[in-house]
Amino acid sequence: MADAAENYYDVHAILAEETLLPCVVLSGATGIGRMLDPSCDSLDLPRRAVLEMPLWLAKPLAERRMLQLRLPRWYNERMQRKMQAGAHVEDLRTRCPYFYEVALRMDALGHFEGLGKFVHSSFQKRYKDLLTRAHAGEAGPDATRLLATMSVEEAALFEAGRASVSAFDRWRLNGHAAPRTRIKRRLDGAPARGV
Amino acid sequence: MVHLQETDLLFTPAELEFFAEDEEVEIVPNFQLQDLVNDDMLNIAAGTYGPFRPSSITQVPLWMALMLHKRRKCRINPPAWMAAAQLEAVLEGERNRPEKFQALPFHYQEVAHLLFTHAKDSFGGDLVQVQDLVAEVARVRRNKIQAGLRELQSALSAVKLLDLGYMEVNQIRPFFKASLDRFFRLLPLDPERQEAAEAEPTPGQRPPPRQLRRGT
Repeated sequence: MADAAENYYDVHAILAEETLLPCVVLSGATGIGRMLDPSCDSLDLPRRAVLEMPLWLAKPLAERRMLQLRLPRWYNERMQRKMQAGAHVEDLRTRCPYFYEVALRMDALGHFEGLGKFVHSSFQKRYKDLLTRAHAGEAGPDATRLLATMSVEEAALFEAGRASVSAFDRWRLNGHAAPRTRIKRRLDGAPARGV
Repeated sequence: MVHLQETDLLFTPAELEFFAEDEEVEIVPNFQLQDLVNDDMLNIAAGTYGPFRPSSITQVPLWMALMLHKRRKCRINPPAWMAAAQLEAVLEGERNRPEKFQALPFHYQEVAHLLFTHAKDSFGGDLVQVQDLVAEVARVRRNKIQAGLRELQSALSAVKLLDLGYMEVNQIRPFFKASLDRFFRLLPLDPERQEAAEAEPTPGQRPPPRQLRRGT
């Protein structure tokens, strides 16, 4: 259920809406308690029950005021403090692969104090790091390690930068592979001789 | 959501190199075009070039210069900006003025690359020095571009990058475009923009439209 303004078949929009968000049910539900929350005791879902729902389902229900969204853990105060300390080292992929998209949807659904500012400044901080790393021409295991910590949106940026730099390097070296500096490391940790 | 079609670069470096082959260079032919009707000139779809006479300097597009050079029909004079002294001045300027890029030809990297690859002997003994200088200039400029892009902080900010070469523009295009798209997409979350929106009068609070004079 992608937004009408976007491409209906955009796989990233669909996947972003699969994100599970914590919410409080305001109206309760009769007969489908087990379906929405497998740990529910009865068939009816009581009012004020707390459960997780995917964004695509939470959105229309929140618009009808049948439930209230809560701030998920990857936007909470603890995470905000961590991002403040060092935005570029935090692993967004395991926390929420669509960190920015989900924040946009949530911001449109209700007022969350400080959410917009936090997410925007997170991107500002991480953008600088992305800029350097995308154009540094890192490849192979290094790039894979970096990509594993980026949200999907950031990974797209990284790949875009890397593609242009590697195309340029290939042209510059007339089709030869770029020279890789290899640093030999000794097992005992002593400085390596020669590069 | 804006996602990665940007990996398909708008132009590949090889295509830019093709465009750069239209730049004109000076050559010194060592043959005579035996054409009494056209006075030793060459009339082709791209234009009229010549006259081709031994030891007389003439301007031709780079592709023609390289083709003639390959057949040992001419000597290529490297463009003026590729003189070692000139490049040293440019490098000095690049280093001393971090806010400004030195004026170099739009296709400087492509032209240098083509000449270094196919016409090494045009530089004589200066080849290694000129190669190093061009590479160093390109490296310094690349760092400056990166520093400029770091200034980008929201969809409403601007980055001033004048006098870039085509290859440099093309290299930052995918990342720059995708970043701006992303910043634009996050615009609803930007606190500065929200403040700006609050400061602006909403349509309802605007002064009422001026009363037009009633028709008689």
